[in-house]
Amino acid sequence: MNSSNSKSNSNLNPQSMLALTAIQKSYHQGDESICALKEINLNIPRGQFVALSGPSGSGKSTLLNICGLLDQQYQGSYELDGQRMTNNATLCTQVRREKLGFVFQHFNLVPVLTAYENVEYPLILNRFSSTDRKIKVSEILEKIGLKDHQHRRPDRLSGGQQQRVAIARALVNSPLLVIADEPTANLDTRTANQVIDLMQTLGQEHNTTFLIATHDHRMSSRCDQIIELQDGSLASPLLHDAPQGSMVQEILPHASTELRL
Amino acid sequence: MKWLQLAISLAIRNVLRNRRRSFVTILIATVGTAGTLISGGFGLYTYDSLREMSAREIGHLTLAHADYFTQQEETTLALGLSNYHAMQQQLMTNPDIRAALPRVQYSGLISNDDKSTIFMATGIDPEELSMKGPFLTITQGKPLSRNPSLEDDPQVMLGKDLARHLNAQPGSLLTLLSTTTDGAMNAIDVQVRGIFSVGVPEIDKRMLYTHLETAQTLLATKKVSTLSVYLYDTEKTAQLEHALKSQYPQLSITPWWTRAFYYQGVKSLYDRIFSILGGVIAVLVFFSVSNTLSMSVVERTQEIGTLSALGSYPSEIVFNFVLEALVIAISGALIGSLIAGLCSIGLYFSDLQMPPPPGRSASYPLYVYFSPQLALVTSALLILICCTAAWFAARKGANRPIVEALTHV
Repeated sequence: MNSSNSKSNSNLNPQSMLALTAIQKSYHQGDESICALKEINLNIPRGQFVALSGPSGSGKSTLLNICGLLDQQYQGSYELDGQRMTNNATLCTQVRREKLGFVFQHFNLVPVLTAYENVEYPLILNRFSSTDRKIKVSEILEKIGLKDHQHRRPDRLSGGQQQRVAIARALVNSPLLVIADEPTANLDTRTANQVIDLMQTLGQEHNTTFLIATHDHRMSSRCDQIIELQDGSLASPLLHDAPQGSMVQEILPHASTELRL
Repeated sequence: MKWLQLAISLAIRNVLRNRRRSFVTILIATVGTAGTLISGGFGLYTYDSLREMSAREIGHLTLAHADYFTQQEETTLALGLSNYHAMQQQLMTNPDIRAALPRVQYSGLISNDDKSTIFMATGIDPEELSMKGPFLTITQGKPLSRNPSLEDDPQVMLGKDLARHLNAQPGSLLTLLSTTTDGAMNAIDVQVRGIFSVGVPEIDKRMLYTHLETAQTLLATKKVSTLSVYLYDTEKTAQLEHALKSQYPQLSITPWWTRAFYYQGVKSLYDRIFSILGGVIAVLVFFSVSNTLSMSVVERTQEIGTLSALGSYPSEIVFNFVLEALVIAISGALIGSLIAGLCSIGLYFSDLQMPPPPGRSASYPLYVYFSPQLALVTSALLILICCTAAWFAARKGANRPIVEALTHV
């Protein structure tokens, strides 16, 4: 991973919010080296709703972890909103705290905190004032329709409600990028559609980019873009199944492992 | 501040999350605290009792000839004090001094006409008996008179076993035989006024008290062996020792503890026992808290990963676990202190007796002091131990790679 400059000096698309250049990731199993990602080049502008799909073992989670700064051990260059990411743990934590949000497959709410407190947590980490926290949390809980359940702990919420709280927690901070890992995998169709609607609506309101690893066709069909991975590389054709009028229609693929949106 | 509030609230809720496990850990912390405070309180009571006993037996400070405690006297009272009246008057001007009482230490033979035995005697001012308080028990008769009649025989108080050896009762007539300061033998008839016990068979078998004047008559001297200074407050002994050393540089000023060999022996033994006991308790609490929090860390690995992903620093996560340990430690310290306090009050009213210690014949009441100072130190140590255990347990979990933590099952 490059770590020399904190600011971009590349010729990346100036509209890019997320820019990956020649990202590679290898694992070691005993003496054997397994290449999980091969030369990934990716540019995603702000506000996009992007699906990351592919079969199991294709590298979706690995790419998601790198984009979410959960894994800093890779080769290549990663720029977020023009800032080059390094493997400095403190910087990565700071960026995660201020600029990223996460939605997990199993919701991952803190079980001893109420819905309100779970949503409030990122704001506390970011030292928002008491008044601002109150306004923001109440507002987003109202939007996700859980204002009446704000004092309930996760074990007293349904799966769909928990995922809505998780989405609220991810977005309350108005992050640049939300990383979502199979957010609808554990939900029934009706609830999954509600969750997708909610993510899209709130994402648009906050002008937040979503990068969503999913196997769920319901989800990928609603995305602006679909990035398909296969054996650690971007698959060709790169884009498919995008709805009419979505930005997928405007994509011009450049190479088999490069996607510029 | 909100972050700290949330962290504290989170810590309390996490402690309550696995109630049974937390209960057992708090119980261990409680037992550790109560055990330390009760055993320590018993030690403090013992030290205090022995300190008082020693100080009341020989005086808080003993003024003597500079060589009195280091050299053998060639003749009786060769190293005695002759100007003790003036010194007594000077000393009594000090408001911290309760009494300055002369003593004559001597020995000889005591006889009831049928048989004789060795005695160790102290010629005293009868006021000294009141200084001894509960540490001298008069089993029969009365203490020495404060104003004895010159027409009556001189009075004597015998140790319990000495009286039994001589078949003496209050009112019995005995003869004391000793060597005068000139080296001649002298005898004096005495009447038994009372029989006492100090609870040490070796002393009760040999010891007797006479009036100071009786001793001086027997030894044919106007000198005394020492001047015992009794204070109102034992804690001021060192301060007075310093002052008297300046006032009487030609004399030996000896504080009670340098001659309280039994006290020193017991204290040394108890200090070691309680140190080992405290160490064992500390290790038990450390491993117990360590075990509890290690299990908690493992169970909450995914939660740790989530908090890290949201932007919590490892130090903040470790701090949360340390706060949980703090909750456990404070709970244990408070409950343990409360139990120790109740135990102390209960024992005070229960009148439980301890068996006589080695070399003693009298049992003594089982009291346990509750020392706020000891409670504070114990609580602080408990908190330190618990927080250290939590830090060790949590730091590994908090520094685990986030991806690994999030996929932990």
